[in-house]
Amino acid sequence: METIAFYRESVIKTYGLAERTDLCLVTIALPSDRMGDWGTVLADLTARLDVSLLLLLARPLPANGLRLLLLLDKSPSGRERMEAEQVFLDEFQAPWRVDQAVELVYFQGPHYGDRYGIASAALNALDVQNVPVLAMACTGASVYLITPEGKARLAREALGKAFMTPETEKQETGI
Amino acid sequence: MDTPIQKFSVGGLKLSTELIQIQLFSNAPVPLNEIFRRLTDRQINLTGVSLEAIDGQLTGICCLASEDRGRAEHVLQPFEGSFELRSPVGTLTIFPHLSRLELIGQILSALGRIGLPVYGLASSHSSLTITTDYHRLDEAVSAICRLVTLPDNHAPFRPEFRVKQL
Repeated sequence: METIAFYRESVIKTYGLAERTDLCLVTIALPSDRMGDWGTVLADLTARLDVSLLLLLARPLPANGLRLLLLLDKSPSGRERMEAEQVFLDEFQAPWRVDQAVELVYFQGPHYGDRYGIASAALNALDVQNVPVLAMACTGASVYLITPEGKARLAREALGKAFMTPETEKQETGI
Repeated sequence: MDTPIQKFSVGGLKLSTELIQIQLFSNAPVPLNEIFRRLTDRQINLTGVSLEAIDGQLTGICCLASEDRGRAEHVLQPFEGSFELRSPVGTLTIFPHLSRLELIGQILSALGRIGLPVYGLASSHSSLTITTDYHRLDEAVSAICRLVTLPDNHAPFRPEFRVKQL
């Protein structure tokens, strides 16, 4: 069964733009054929580092690999991080890349998962304003954009021009 | 047979319909904005997107409904050599994950032990979506159900209708 939906929006609506700053992005290239092993190591990671996971994404790499990105709420301390990284290095020859102080802008909107053009509009908005993007995930009705340090505010401003937020809607309608 | 020590409580599992995955090559100068703009112009929805620019250039994967394959191939024709299509793939979404990397790690470990391919992962605040072989989704569900408890009367579900924007 198929349900057809019309969206009469001159500007794509969001439920609001949010941002987080001072985050930590850990990137690891892992062997796909050893996921059973590194999945177990990964399971202990947030407890070992005393951090919280905000976002995770992964994509395949050529030659049987998976690049895993973990966005954490803070940078793990030096010693804990070195110990955790060593496990990945020893077991899977997978050194970490750590981007400190990265930032996150995210938003949701009505039925985004079923609508075309959302990711394109977001990327285009940032491109027009020359805002660099480290990573992007669109899943369900949510869009997440990870930017380098100091760029979330610019990203939010750029997205605010391309998407309608409750604030801009209020200004437009006076309600 | 694996006997998990602890089962994780989750709210539900959702399976996708048959999808196509576009895998953009990281070593090709892919005009990502142009590709996305063309897909938008043809009203092709991307059901999931995971991109990263760790090597400098934004690249990654995205999925679309299998019935959009023909139109997407036409749109992507000028960019031949910059991407690969993988099909059929399907997604399995677990919600909520409550930011429990322990749960996510155990799930990946379980899928790895049965040799299930993982073609992509993406989380949101509430859910974790795993992209795998569409024909092996039931195997993935079985492996995950050994790790999690679902609410009473909940069974992993497939969408019974599709919303399409015009």
